[in-house]
Amino acid sequence: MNGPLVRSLPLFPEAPVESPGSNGSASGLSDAFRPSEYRGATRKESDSPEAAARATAQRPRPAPLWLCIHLPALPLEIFAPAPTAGPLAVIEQQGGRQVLVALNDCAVRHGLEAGQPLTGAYALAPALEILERNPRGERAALERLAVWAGRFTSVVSLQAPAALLLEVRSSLRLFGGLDALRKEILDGFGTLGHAAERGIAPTPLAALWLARAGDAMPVEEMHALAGRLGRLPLACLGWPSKTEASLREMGLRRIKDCLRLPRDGFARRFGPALLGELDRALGRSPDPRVSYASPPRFIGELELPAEVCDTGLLLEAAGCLLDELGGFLRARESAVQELELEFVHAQREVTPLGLGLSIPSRDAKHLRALFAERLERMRLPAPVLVLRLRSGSVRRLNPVARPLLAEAAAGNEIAREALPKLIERLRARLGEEAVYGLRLVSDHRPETAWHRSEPGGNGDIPDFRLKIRNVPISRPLWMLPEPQRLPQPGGRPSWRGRLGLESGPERIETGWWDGSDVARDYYVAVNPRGMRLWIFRRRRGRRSWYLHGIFG
Amino acid sequence: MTGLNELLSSGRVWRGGETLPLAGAVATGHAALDERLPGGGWPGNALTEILSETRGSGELGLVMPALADLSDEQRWIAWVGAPYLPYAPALSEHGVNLSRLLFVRPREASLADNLWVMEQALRSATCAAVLGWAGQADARQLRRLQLAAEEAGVCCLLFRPLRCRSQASPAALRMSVTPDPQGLRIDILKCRGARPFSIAISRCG
Repeated sequence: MNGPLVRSLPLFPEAPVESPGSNGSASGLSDAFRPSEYRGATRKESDSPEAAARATAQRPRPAPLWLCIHLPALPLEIFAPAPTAGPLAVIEQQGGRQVLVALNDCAVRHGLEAGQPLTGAYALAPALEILERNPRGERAALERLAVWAGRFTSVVSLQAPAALLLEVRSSLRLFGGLDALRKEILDGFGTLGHAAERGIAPTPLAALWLARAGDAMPVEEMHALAGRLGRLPLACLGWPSKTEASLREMGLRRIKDCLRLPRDGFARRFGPALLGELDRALGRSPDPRVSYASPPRFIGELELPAEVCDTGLLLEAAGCLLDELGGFLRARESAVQELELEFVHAQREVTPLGLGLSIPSRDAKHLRALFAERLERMRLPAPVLVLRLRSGSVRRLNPVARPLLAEAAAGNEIAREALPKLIERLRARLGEEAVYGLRLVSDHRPETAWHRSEPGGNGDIPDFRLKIRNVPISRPLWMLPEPQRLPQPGGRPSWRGRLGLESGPERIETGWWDGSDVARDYYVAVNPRGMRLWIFRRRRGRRSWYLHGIFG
Repeated sequence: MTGLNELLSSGRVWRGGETLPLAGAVATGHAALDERLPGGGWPGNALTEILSETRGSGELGLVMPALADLSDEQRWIAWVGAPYLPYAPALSEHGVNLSRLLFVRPREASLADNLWVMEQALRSATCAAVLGWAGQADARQLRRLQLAAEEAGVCCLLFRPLRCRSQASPAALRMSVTPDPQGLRIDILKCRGARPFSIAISRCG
C-alpha cells in the first residue's frame, strides 16, 4: 500500500495546497525531485566553514530572471500600416471553417472576439475586412524582433508563435533596475508598432504564462512563483484545447487546481510532456533556452496591406524597417555603410533605392531622414506591394571611450557624428557636388591657388594662416569663375563706372611648365560706387583688362 | 492717465529703456562697432541682416574678423548660396581656418533650397555661424530662420540687397553697408535692445 500512497501525493507540495495530511510526507519526495541549482537553499549549507569557503571560491551564479514579451496582435500587426480604419480581422482555416485570429480595436468595439467563426462575425459587423493569416510573415517578424531585442540582453529566445523570452538578470544593472528596463523594452515595442504583454518570472515558461494571462506584476523570487502561477487560469497555458476542455470537465479552473493532482495520474491521463512543462515552469527541472542567433546581414521585409503609392505611407513603413535595423546593429555593436530599399510592384521589376553613407551609421532616425529626402525626389513607376530593406555588410564599430566631462563629450560628439550627418542630409537633397570645403594649394596662379575638398579635410598641405593685422589684404574674398573682360571706353577699364587704380601692379608670371601659363599685372581698382575690385592686364598678346575678383 | 496705462499694458508700445539681455554675442572685431552694439557684437543667437546695394560692397569683409574668431572653435561655419567663389587664399589671409568652413551651393540654386539648407545647418547644432545669401526671402521665411537661429543658439548672417530695406523683418539686427573712401559706412536700421545709429569703420578687406 505504501508505494501507491507515495505516488498519489500532490504534484507540487510547495504550492498553496490546502488538503491536510499530505504535506508532511510530501517534502521528502520533493527535495529529491528538485535540482539544487534551482533552489535558494545553497545558503543553508554555509554554516560549516568549508562550505563557506567553497561558496566564496565559486560564487553561485545569480538566478536567471526571464522577461517574456507576448504579442497577442502579431498576426494583425505584420500587416502594418492598417489598410482601413474600420473593423479588420485576420482569419485562419481551423477544422474546415474560417475563424478570427486577431482583430483591431474597431472590430472589438463591434463585439467581435478572437476564436469566433467568420460567418458569425459578418453578422455582427458587415463591413468587416479580412486578411489571410501569414504564419511565415509572423515568424519572420518575430525573428526580426528577437534581433532588435538583442539590444537589451544577449539571451533572447523565440517562443513561437508570438512571444520572445529575454533573460534580463544580467542586464538589470546596466539599465538601472527592472522597472527602467521593462519600461524601455515596452516603449521600444510600442514604437515598433507592437502591442506587447509582459510577464517576469525566474523561469521562462512562468514568464510566458504570466504574459499570456496579462499579469504584469513581476515575480522575482523562486519561492513566490508557485503561489503566483497557481492563480492563473488554465487558458494561459496554451495547452491543446482538448486537454483544456477535459481539465475543465474535471472541475479545474486554475493552475493551482492542476498542481494538486497526483503526478502519475496526471502523466497517464495527459501525457508526460505537460507534466514536464509544469515542472519546468516551477523551476523543478531545468529549462535551457537557445538564444536566437541572427544572420550577419539585415534583410527586412514589410508587406503592405494594399498597393501604396503615397510616399508618406511608404516612408512610414520604411521607418519601421529602419527601426528594426537599428536594433539589429546595436545588438552587434556595428553599423552599416550601404543600404538598399526595394519597392516590389505587382507586375513590374523591383525599383531599388540605394543609399551610401560617408561614415557607417546605425541611427534609424538619421537613415530615415536620408531616405525621406531621396523618396521625395523619386518617381515610382507603379504602386508598391512589398517593401524590402537590405543592408550591406555590417561593420563593427570601434568602441569610443567617452570623456568624463559632459561638455567635452558634447564637443567630440559634434565633430565625430553630427557633421557627417548634416552633410549626408544636404547631399541627399542637393547632390554630391553641392557641399564642399576649401583648401589651399601652393601655387602663384590665382586660379589654381585653391581647391575644392571634402569639408573638414585640411588637404595635403597644412593650412598656413597669415593673420597679420593692419596689413592690407592682397587677395579678394570673391573670385569670378572666369576672368571677365572689361570694357575699355577711351582706353581705360570700367566696370559699373570708370575704374581708378588704387594699388599695383603685382606681377604674376608663371605656369609655363604645364601649358596654362599666365603673365599678368594685377591691380586693385575702385569704381565710383566704392567697390574694390581685383583686375589684371595681360602682358602678352592683346593687352586688355580683366576683372578677376571683388574684395567684398 | 488710465489711457496711458492701458496703452502700456497692451504690449503694443516698445519702451526705449528696456534692453534685452543678449547672450553669447560674437565680437565683430571692429571696436567702435562692438561698443555700440548691445551685447558687444553680432547677436549670437539670432538673425542678422546685412543689406548692401551691390554684392561686394564690403559686407563680407565686415564679418571676416568674427569668422576668424569663430573658426578657431570646433564647430563649423556654413556658407549657403554664395554668389561668387569664396577665394581660399583671401580667407586664409583674413585669418579664417579653412578646415572649419562648409560651403553649400546647389547647382541650380533656388531660394527654397537655400533656405532649407540654412535651416538644416542652424538646427544641426554643428555650426557656430551660418552665412546665407537670400535676396527674395519674404517675411515668413525670415521668421523661420530667426526662430531656428534662436532655438539653436547660432549666429545667422543673411546678406541681402538694399532694396529689401522697406520690407518688414524679424531680424534682431539689421544694417545697411555702403562703401566710402576710408572704409565702410554702416547704418543700423534696427537693433534689438538699442536705437538705430550710423557709424563709419575703416576698411579691412
